[in-house]
Amino acid sequence: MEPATKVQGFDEEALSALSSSTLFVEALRKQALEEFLALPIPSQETEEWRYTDLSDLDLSFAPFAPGGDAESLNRGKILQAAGVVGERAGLQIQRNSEVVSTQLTEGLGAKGVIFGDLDRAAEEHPELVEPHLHALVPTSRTKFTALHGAFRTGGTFLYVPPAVTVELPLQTLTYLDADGAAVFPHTLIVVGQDAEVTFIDRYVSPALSRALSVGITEIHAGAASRVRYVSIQEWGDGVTHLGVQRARTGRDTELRTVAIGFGASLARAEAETELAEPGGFSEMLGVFFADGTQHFDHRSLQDHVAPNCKSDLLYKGALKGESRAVYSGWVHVRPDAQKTDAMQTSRNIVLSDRAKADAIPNLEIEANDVRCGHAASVGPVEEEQVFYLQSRGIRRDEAERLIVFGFFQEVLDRITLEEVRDSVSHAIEQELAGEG
Amino acid sequence: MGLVKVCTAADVPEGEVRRFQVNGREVAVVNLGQEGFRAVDAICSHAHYFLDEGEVDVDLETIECPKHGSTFDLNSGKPRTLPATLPVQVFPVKNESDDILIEVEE
Amino acid sequence: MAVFGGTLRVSGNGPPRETNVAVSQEEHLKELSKGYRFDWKDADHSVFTPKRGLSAAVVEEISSLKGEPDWMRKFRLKALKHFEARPMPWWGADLSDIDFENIYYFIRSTEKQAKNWEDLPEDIRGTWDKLGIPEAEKKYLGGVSAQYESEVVYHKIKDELDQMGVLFTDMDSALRDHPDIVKEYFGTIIPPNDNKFASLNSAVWSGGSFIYVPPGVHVDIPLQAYFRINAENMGQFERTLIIADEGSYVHYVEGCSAPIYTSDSLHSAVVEIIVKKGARVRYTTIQNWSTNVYNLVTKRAAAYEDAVMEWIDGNIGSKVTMKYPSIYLLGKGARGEVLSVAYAGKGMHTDAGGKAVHVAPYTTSIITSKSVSKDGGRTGYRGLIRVEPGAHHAKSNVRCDALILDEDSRSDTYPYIEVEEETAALGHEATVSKVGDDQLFYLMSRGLSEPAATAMIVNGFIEPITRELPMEYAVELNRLIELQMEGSVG
Repeated sequence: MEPATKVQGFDEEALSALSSSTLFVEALRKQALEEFLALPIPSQETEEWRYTDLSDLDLSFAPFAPGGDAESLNRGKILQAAGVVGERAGLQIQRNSEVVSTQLTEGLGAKGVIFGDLDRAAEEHPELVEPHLHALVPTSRTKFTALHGAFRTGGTFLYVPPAVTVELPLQTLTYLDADGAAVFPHTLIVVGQDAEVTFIDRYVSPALSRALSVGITEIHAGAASRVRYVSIQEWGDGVTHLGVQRARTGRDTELRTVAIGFGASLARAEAETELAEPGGFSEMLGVFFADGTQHFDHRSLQDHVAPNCKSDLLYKGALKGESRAVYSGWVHVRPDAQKTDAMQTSRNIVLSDRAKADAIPNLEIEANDVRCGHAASVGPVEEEQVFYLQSRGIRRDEAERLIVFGFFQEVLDRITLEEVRDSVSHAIEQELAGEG
Repeated sequence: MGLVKVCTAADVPEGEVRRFQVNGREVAVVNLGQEGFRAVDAICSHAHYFLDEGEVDVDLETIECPKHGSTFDLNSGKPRTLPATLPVQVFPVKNESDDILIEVEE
Repeated sequence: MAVFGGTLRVSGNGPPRETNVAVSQEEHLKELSKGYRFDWKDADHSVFTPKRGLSAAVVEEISSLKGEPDWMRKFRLKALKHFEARPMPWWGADLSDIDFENIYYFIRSTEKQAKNWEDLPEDIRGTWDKLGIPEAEKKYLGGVSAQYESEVVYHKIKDELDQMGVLFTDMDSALRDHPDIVKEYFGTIIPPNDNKFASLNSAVWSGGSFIYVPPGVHVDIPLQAYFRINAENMGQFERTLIIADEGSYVHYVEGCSAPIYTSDSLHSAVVEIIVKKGARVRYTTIQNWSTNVYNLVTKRAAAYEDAVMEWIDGNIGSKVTMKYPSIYLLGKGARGEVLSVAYAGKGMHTDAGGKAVHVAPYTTSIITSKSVSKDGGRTGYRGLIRVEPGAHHAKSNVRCDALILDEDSRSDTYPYIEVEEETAALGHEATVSKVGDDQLFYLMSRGLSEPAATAMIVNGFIEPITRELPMEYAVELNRLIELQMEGSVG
């Protein structure tokens, strides 16, 4: 494990210690720092933070942790920690606060695809970065997004020009091994009209005594584009993860996102899609498995602004040990969004008598010609099913394992990337085998 | 179990309540005058507010949570009124020459 | 003859009617089709000059006029402090227009409570006749309590219930006549500092019902209370306490209405119910306030071992309603049910729902909500299912369906599910839809007019609720829906 740098906390001095960026990023940082200093830590008194208490969060993290130079970098070790990495059209590795490696298949660059370090992209393609950075997730959203805006370094920028199809997935691996550090992963994806791309964000770390990750993902999906976005959060124990992901779809866009959460001590993940133009489609899948004393707070928003859009959300989670998981989701159908078809489903299976699950699936419907529904459930492994399997000669523990897999099957079947599906299955297997 | 000194009798005026940290726990010590001292878990079993910010009723021997108004019996710890449904822990109290001692688990 | 109802439209109201004779069902329906049919105003009957605004002096005056014991006076004053200290709720409906300084907190309309309708002043009696209460009392009620402004002006219970030891009086009399039992339970289910409006009620409460049913006694016919606001800017703060002793049963029905004024009135009740071991309480509300009444009510029941608590909650009127009847399942095997139907028309926001808190093992709860919004109205379901540690094998099901009848209207669903027990099984489902074109087309092809077809579909939609109502109410509710759907009304 690498120790983080000596600087601790977030103030003007800490900010001036970061290497300078382009002018508009510098201005953004300054403004975000002011917001950060002015905004309170979100209170449990507010609806948005009712289930997660950060009032005692000690912010004395190191604002910057180096990624190390190329020689000292043990790429094998990082890739090993990251698990299977399948065939990729591009792979970027960020270690701690810095991007340490970027690769893009030859030919894609020639087609105009841009993939790489967000800070470098801000310098080289300000016309693409400036209008989109923090356009969907403003820095002023919370104290933490402001912190992100001020102290972010590294991050990923992906641009796919109109009508370009990227066949293989692109991926960023964010690897954190600096104890006591705060990292700010940012993924900014801009997809042109009628383009197609798949992107995977994977967050990995060993167990740390403490660390903070405040991540933001912004997806601008152009008209008739087809975008798949997968996030896999596998931080180690000790990490506090606060992530916000927001997408905006164009006319007839097809957006499919998958959020997978297994790691961190405390993970709050907000996923939002704004269906801004007619004919858009948004699928939002979620899979999580909590154990030990993990605390998960998942929030979703299906924001139907334009008519004739469809959204479909399915989150499935299992809880073991003394873990706690909260799902709260919103379907908002705005007055002009007639002919909306929106579905929202949250299912929780509780495997321990000390685990706690909460579900709050909300609907706010301001148009009348809509088809909207939601369903939520929290329950144990059903005794009847166990009994049935036992009557077929299957041992109780094996029966429970099969039932949990059966529970997740519905969402796994809808993950189109085989490699992701397999690694999720593997992770579930490990969770089931592990203690508590 | 062991006896721990929390405060002196003079620290908690009659009919009032003060909060102390004992072995990492928040404990509310109440002075009921002639009826002596009581000590209960200082955090409401309902919505996790500090009970010592609420009112003591010396006649009923209860303390009221300031957040939703649940009252707790200072002798049994049981809620006398909803919306709290679970009791708060009660600690045995001794007054030894004006030192207030309470019994806590080691 | 039914005793509630009315449409929600506020236009086309004639001058106050002078008549004080009972009207037939047909006349009711004719009147109904003209608009909100309870929009008549009686002359001012207050027996002392009422004052607007709220202060410790007003609270003291209410308590002293009622000749209350000192503990209640103190209870009120403490509650007033809580009310003043608490912020307005930041969630739910918009309450920013409530002017607490412009409200009358206490109006006494008669010197003493009547036991015969004839003993009431003529036009107050006429109001009850028009509402059909005396007739209903004769036909199918075990007892009637009629509250006019702040106090119950008429009260009667059938002799046989009296002889069985059933207590059914207004709350003020109960405090006088049964002080011990009132002191034991009053404010234990909903403490004065539960929420801002419970604090307000606790400070200025007046009237409401008190019911005690002795062990094993089944009250076969419903007991009814009717609440009428007559004065403009009236605040009505009734307080109801029901105790069903072991193995007993009672069905309590309440209705309400008010004339339409240009400025707002406030109705803020507190209802506390204790359902002891093996007992069952059914509480039916048909709320039909005029569209200038803020209806902000706290209703909560405690159900002990094997007890059954049922809330049947119809919210048809008011400007704003915020009401979530709740059940605390405190004893093993207790059951709770909430059936909620909400309608919101022009300018209305009905935020209703239900709560079930499972504290004991093997407890079950069912919440069914049906809402209809029309003409820019907004309905909301807000609910909580909570399973406390130790409530193993708790089961709960929530079903919410909303119909939105036009593009200006809105529906929200905010269900909270909190589970701290592995063996608990909870489910929630909700749908939001419009009246299906194919259904409409089918019915119209059978010769029904569009409003009639829509009414039929809406009636079918709320049928799970209406079938639980006493028949007279169910028939009336269906008629109301038909009238709501008529083009001329909408």
